[in-house]
Amino acid sequence: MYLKLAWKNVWRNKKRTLIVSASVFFAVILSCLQRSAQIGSFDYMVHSITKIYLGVLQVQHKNYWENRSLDDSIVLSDSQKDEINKIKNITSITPRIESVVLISGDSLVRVAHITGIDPHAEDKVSGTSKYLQKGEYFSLKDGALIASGLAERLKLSIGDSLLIYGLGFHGQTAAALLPVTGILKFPIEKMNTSTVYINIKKAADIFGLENRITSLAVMIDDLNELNRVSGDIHKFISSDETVLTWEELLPEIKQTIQFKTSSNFILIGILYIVIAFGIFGVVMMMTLERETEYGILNALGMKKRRMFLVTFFENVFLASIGTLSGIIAAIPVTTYLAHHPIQLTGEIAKSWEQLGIEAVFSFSADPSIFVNQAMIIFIISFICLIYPMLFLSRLKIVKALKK
Amino acid sequence: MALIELKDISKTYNTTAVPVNALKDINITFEKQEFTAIVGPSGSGKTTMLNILGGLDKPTNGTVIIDNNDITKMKPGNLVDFRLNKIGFVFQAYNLIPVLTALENVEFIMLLQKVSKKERREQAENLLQDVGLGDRMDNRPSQLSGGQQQRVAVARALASKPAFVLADEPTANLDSKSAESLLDMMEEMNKKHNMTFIFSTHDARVIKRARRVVTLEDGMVKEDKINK
Ligand SMILES: Nc1ncnc2c1ncn2[C@@H]1O[C@H](COP(=O)(O)OP(=O)(O)O)[C@@H](O)[C@H]1O
Ligand SMILES: [Mg+2]
Repeated sequence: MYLKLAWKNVWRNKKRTLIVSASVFFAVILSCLQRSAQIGSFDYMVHSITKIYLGVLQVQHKNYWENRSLDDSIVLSDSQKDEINKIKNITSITPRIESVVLISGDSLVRVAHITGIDPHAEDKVSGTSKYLQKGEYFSLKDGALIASGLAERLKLSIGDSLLIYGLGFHGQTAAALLPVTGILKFPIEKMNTSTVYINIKKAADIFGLENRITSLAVMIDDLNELNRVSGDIHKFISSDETVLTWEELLPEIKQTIQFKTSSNFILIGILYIVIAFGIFGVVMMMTLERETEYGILNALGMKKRRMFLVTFFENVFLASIGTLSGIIAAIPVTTYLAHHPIQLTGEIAKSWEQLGIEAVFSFSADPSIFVNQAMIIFIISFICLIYPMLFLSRLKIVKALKK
Repeated sequence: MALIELKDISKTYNTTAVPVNALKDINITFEKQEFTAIVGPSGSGKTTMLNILGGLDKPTNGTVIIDNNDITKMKPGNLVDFRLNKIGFVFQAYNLIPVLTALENVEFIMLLQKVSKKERREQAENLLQDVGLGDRMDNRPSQLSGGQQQRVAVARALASKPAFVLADEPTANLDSKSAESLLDMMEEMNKKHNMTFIFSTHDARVIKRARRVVTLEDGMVKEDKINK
């Protein structure tokens, strides 16, 4: 009956309750969508960067990332690689030799990013084979796989020859003429206009690296274990070598995420402050306008504690109406968007691609999003309860009855 | 042994610029089954006296003894329970919980007493029958007339099976016909349930109905007589 009383009390002033519930409803929907878009796009950002070309972690020479020089390459023995591969949460590893070279087809010359890969291992880490448009991927040996955008610009197709010219180990000249054996189409524009893949053995030959590599890319199955895995890898490498996480490899991405997250938190924070005042206003009015009633109930023999309990229930109901309906409305929307990301176009798409991110606006339907919004609203409404609590503790029957 | 005994009760309000001596050294007792009116002009101290009698306010001096309990020395928590179980209240207006039906309003007091659901339903129905509202049990206060609301309030006051019922100007907001019939009903309850009623009023017709009339003036008992 206390619950029933509380529920009925909430609806004493229907219009007011509807207004505050509607504002909670919209706030919850808005912030759910906002969080969904944010988490979704950041997850996607991280996913696309790490999955398509970076790897979650890379083992490198400690100077490599700064100098990007083949002189800062490393040698990892098979047993080292085995040990690393055995570390918990690591799903796959792949060695790479990366360099920037000039390439040309018939007459045109361009700068390209060339990567020597082990086709099978690379496919496990980056899923490269699925980008194959023409030709063959797994049989890569003496030929070259070239990104479709680059192929178009150089007017190259399968079977044509590709000239590579660059700088090898210790400043020696690295040059080779390779047949194009496959065309890859990448979702990231920047990659699609600059990438060339060759077999890692061939790359070692061309650049005079023998058994040296520039990096070992590592994928793991749980991003929360990132730092632990990084620490574990350190046990198997020398002091000249280091492990960099994707955040360290691309600090600008991390900064972008942090900046956007905090600026969005401010916006959402303002929204919730407005909501908090709305809820507080209603709680305050509901308390004040019932002073006589509280006085009578107390006179009749209802303890203040019990009156507060009813008020507490009222508060829970008041907060729940908007929150639950908001979440119920937000779940299908975010779930739909999570499965149907929005393809971006125009300037925004360009700016994303410059960051090396596929221009897709993704959403997340992670349950924590909804739980968090509900928690925020409930925390707000519990804070608002301080008012009726103080009010009741100060309630004087005689004074209340005089009103 | 008297049901209620006020000993040397005085009450001074210090909240105003000039302190008001609302009650001055009152000594009076009330017995079981009384049907007593506290009368006097406005400001004579009726409400103050009933509030002190009902444990809603503390006297500045003196003691209130109800059923051998000195309520002026009770802890606030115990006093609430004491009121719940020993005293029935009827106020001048806005007595009932507006969102509950007549039946629920009467049941509510028994809910506070932790009476079982079945028993309190039965009891509430009986009482509403008794006060002549058997057909209005599911109405909300706003759907009842002022007189009917006061009847519900009396039914509720009786529902807790108190030692006595205090009513501060229960007819003040009623027309004379409703006032009359409320008094009829209270009198009937007084007889049927042997219930003690102490009510304040300044309505001559209501005063006539009381068996004992205590007249206050200026915070003092001016007259205390038995109506024939
Ligand atoms: N809370 C209060 N503060 C100050 N004075 C009060 C208060 N309540 C009552 N009084 C004064 O006490 C006197 C008695 O009031 P009250 O008991 O309400 O009389 P009645 O009910 O007979 O009209 C009046 O002079 C009134 O103004
Ligand atoms: Mg009065």
